[in-house]
Amino acid sequence: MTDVNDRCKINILIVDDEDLIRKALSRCFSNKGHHVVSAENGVIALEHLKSENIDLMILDLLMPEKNGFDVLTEMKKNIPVIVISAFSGTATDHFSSDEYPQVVGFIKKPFEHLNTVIEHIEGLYENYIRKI
Amino acid sequence: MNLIVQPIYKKYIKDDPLFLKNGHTIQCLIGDSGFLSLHQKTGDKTFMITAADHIAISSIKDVIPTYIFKISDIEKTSEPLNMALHKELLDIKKKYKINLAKTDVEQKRSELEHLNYFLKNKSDEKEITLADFHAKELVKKNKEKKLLSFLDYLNSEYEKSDFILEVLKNIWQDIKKTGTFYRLGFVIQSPNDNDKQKIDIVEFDGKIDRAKSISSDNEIQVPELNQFLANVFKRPVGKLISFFTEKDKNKFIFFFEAQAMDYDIIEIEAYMLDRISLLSIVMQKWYAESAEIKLLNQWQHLFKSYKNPIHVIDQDYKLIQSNYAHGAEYGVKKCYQILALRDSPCLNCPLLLKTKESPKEVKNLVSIQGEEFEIINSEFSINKQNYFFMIYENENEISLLKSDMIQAEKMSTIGQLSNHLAHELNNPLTGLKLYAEMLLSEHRLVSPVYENDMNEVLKAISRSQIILQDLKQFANEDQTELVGVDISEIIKKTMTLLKSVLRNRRIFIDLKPTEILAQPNYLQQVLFNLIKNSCQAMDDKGTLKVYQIESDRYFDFIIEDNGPGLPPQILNQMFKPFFTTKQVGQGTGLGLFISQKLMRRMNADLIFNSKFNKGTQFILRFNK
Repeated sequence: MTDVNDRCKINILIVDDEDLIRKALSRCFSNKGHHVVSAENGVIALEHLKSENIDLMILDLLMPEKNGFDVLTEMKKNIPVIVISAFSGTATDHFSSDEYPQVVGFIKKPFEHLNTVIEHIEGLYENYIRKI
Repeated sequence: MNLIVQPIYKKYIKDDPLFLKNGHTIQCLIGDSGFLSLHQKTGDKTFMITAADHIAISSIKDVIPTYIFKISDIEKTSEPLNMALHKELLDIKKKYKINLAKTDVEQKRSELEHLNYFLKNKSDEKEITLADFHAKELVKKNKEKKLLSFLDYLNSEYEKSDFILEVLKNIWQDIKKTGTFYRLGFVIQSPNDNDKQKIDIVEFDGKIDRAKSISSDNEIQVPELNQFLANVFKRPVGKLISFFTEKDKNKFIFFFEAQAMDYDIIEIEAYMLDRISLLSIVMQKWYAESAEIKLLNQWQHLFKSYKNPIHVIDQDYKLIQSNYAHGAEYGVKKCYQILALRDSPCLNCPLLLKTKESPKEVKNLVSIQGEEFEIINSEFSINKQNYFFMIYENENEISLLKSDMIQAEKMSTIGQLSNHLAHELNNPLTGLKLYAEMLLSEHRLVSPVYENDMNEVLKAISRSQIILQDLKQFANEDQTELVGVDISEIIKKTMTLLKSVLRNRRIFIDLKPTEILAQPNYLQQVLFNLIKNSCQAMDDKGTLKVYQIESDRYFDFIIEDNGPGLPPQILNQMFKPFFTTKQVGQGTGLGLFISQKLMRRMNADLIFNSKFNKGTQFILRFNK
């Protein structure tokens, strides 16, 4: 894992109700020099979105309080979102680019290796940056 | 007396007593030839009998004169003439009398003859009437005799299963003498329960008989019989002569199918009129009874086929009906003598408890030949006589059944639970894995011992995830993409995964490289499950065989072991989820269920060969 340079340092919001996943991902991205904010449900996530300047959101779908779909619907800022979910396979069916244009990628649970997941997320974000 | 004398000779004739008129007509002529020939009444024959100087005495009807005299002699004396005349008159009178008598006799004879003839005629007439009467009597008697023998015949054949055919054959024998027929038969129709007509049709053509039983909305009328028969038997129908009777709502039609006009209708009519009502009654009765017998047989079959004892007994335990005793034992032997081989009623017999008026609620458990049975009984009465219907249930089987049900229930709950569990555990496990990996990457260099420990943690996490994946797999409705795979390659890969369970068991794999349409992971899992099951069922010296059989339609891959096999009673359940014969903790009960499901997702099938009796044999059947 290599540290990102300053230009690439971004603010990431990680939303997952599973403590260990949230913490592991947070720490990995922090270790890489990114600024990480985390939320354990949709309500907190939406608060963070309001108060913080977020560049990328990693969002779990199944959560208590407000779930991932609620967050996607209610968020006002246009920032890229990477959805992580155990919905798997058919997950893409749940999203249309018209309905949730901010979703730039999906990652299926359970994850394989931590490194792979991190790289996948970085890759998806870079693709997004390149496109705009 | 009529004496006709030629007037010139009257002077010679003296009075004679024979001249007296006495009512008789004697005609006598006296005169010369001319005179005689004038008065004689002898038809055409006239004879000139005398010379001119002679006279003669002659009967008026005779051509030959009786006496002839010379006139010159008479002029001398008339005596001989008068004497001759007298004699002639006597003769004529005599003749007349004889004639009279003769005529009388003739008349009498003729009368007699007439009488005789009349009498003869009368007696002939009488004889003819008598013969006629006898003949008629005979015909009548014959007819009665025939009818009686027909009735006897019906009675004697009635019990036979082919009664109807026998009757038709009998009628066929009689009726074919009166003409040429194609076939004969009958239709019986009676209303059904549901407002429909039950119609039985039978026909016979001298060789083959056909029978049909159909249900129809409408009654069949005689005029449309032709069309009806054609429809039922799908063939052309000739000219029909039919006879029918109607009793209550049941209609009986008897028909003859004949060649046009080639039969004696009067004879057939006479024949059938005698029999139609008899036939109708007997046949309808037979049909009703045979339906009843069929029903009874069915019921008896059902009764007999029940594997546990069932019986009906009377108050004295005497057997009335059962599915285990013989006919001769009914009404004589008692249930406990035959079923339980006892001298007294079974302990806890509900009948015994009833007579003792035991207040306790006792489970009707009796011991019969070493096995425990629970009795389910009900009481009923016919003609004030009480009977008991009893069903014996093997207690062992009931408890097995109950435990099976509990097991199934348990498994279904565990199934739902594990599905839920799999979903719920997945999340923390994923977190745990990420965290462990993160720790490992952060602290790898700190200590090799720490690195090893973390790797152990990661291994445990991976194993847990595999178990969860297994649990989730059967709920997974992912679309299956089928690709061409070589099963022999897949089995090679599978065998390496199974090293730990294979151990010392002998394995024979005889598979040719065969490409089939499958999903490789699914196929691998199926093979894995089946081979693992087989190995677990066999002891260490067991043999496992994997080989293939190719038919026109299928590729069959066979997995066969020589273990103890599967008990037949689980055949229906083996593919159900959470069903297992393994001990608690040894299996999830999902292996065969998932395997079959996966095979079906690959448009293939998993078949258990129940005919294989040297162990267990499963067939993986792929369509070609």
